Amino acid sequence: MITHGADRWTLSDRAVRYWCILPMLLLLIAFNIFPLLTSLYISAHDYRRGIHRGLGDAKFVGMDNYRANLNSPPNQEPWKSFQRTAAMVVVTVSLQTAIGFSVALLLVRKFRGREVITALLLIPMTLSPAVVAAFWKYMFNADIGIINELTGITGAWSGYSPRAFWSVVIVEVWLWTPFMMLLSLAGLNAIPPSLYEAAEVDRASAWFRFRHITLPLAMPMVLLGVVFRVMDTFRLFDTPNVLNGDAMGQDTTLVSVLLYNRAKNDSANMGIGTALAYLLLIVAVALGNIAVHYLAKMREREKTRGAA
Amino acid sequence: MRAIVAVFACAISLVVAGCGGGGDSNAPAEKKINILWAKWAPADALQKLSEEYTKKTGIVVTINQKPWADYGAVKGQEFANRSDTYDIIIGDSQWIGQGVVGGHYVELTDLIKQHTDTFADVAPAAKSFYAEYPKGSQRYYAVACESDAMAIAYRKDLFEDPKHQAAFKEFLKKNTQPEFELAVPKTWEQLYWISNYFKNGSGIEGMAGIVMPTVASYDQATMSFQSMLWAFGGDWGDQHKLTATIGSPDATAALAFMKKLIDTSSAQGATMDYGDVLSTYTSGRSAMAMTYFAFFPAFNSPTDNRDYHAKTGYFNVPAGPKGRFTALGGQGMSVNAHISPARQHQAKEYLVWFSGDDIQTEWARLGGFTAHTKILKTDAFLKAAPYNGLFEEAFGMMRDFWNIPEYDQLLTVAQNNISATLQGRQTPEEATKIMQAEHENILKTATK
Repeated sequence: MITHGADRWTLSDRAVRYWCILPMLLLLIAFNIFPLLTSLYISAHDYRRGIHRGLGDAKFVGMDNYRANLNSPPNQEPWKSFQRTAAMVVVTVSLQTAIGFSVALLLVRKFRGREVITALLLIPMTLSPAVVAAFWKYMFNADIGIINELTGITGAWSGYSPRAFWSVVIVEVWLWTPFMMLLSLAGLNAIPPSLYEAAEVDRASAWFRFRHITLPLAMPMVLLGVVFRVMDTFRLFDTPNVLNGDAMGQDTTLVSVLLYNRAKNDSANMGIGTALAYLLLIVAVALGNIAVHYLAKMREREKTRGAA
Repeated sequence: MRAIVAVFACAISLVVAGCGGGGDSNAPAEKKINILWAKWAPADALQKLSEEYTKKTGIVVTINQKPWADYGAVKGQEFANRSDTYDIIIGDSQWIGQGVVGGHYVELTDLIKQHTDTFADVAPAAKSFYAEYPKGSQRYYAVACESDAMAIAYRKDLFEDPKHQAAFKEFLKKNTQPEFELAVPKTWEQLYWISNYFKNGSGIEGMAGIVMPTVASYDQATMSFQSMLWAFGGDWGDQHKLTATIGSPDATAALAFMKKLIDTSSAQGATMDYGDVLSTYTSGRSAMAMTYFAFFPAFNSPTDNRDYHAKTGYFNVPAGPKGRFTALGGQGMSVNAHISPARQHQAKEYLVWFSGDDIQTEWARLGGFTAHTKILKTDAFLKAAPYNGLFEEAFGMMRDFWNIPEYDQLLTVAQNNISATLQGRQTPEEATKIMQAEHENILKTATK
């Protein structure tokens, strides 16, 4: 690879290529592959990091940690947290999509100040979710918060209160609706005006134009956004954790929060939490694959339609 | 392909080499001491106190203050990595079992024996709770640093107001309760009625009767519950036999009482953290606040408690049907077992310096709560703050949570169930039954 020329050392193209990827490879091994393999090892062991004197003391238990997670009754963890997560995904993503798409429909029309309003609406998305959640926590405080002041609600929004779930929904919708609005706007702007002009010539009603032109043509971009939001909400941790902590059995104990809770105690078997993380990974990969497959299919359909 | 394998192998070897670090264990210690503690006023006081040590020895002492929410997690990382970042860990009393069994704390029994004069004056309760493991073994792994216990601050101006005193008597009569004065309560039941009066009978809008830490994170709800648990005759269990007794009728009665008491708190009262307790009281929205002595300087501060610092009185937790107890707080100072012998030696010398009478007097003057009984009785200490006189009495009432290595799992169960009960998610009977079963399950595999 390194050739010794007449008067200097030179590197072949191939060597340059390898030397260039080396730093990335090092980072990949140190921060991705090494932890991934270590956690896989831990998931097959009874490892208590506060008690055992290193990984060498961990006891091999095979698939027991996976069984401990999977064999729980449906009304207990981790199934309860999967149910809460599913509810959170359905509620927040539906609201984000509906509101985001509606706002995009308003913003797609040309009017004065449209760009400024669009930019202002995007602000929540640019903020750190943890910081946003910390601000909302004050607003949800039952004693001094503005939410109870405005709504007349007297109870708490935190802890084991059923309202805690809705506090997370409200913050997530506030944070990520702009994202759905942005993608919807991109989809709406990509619709050729000629289609609307043709519909107008045919005297098509507004509902007909929306139903047969706007909705189907904007849908691929909207669905792309939905896929991103579903996957992001599925692993949601920072908002519920900052708003309501990591206690078990709260309506905000989503699967990521449960995962943290199971792994946080130094004397507990970390393998159970790690096994849950791998189960979560399998679900996430499966969901991701379904989404990618669906999107590819949709693109194919679009291509066919374009060709026709 | 061979080239790719070579690059990959090279990368792995570089990563492994990078992870392998570690200094020379025989090298002399650098002139610095890193201490891990939580972020709060006593840590600032210790940093100030340590400037004297730097002047005397040239050794720079840094108190690394971690937010309370991360404090336990940082300890966990340090333990798991067998890290040598910190020379001294100022750890919660419950951590000692994990520190000892996991081999993270250096045994200090010989050091304490060598400096009998320095350590003889330490209150036996402090020695036992902060330093000894297992209990009764007379083997020590820490020296008392910040001693602490739960006590109560109250609005003297409201309690002494004749209008409220008369209205309080009426309130008791209306609720067919035996008459007693609106004053420092002698029993938990009296405290409940006073709290109930301020919430529901005083006519002050938005006023809570009492606030205390109740949130499910870390140890807050459990620490508040304990004073009632023991006063009602309940207990967590037997640490030597590793048996749980939290399902007892006395423990259930204590939790039912706490639920009743928290119903006289504010709307946020069932999910309050230490910070919420301070801010609610100092903004005049609660007649009483139960928390640790370590937070009391804020109640007494004209800056932090601008409107009520001069109107605030203090008392130790009252008695229950079966005794008077308070939840121990505070931390001991332990030497990290993963640092070099030279650094351990340097850290031990700091511990001995810190425990000296003069330094402990200065520590108390700066707002720290010393465990040295002679100092607790001095006029200087007693007059330094209005609540200092209560502190020595509190020492005789202290009890603590489990401190076996599995304390964190036991604590998580307690936290979740106490907090859920206070918010009406489950009944006290259900909660103590669940706690009993889950504690038994954890204790089955616990380390003695």
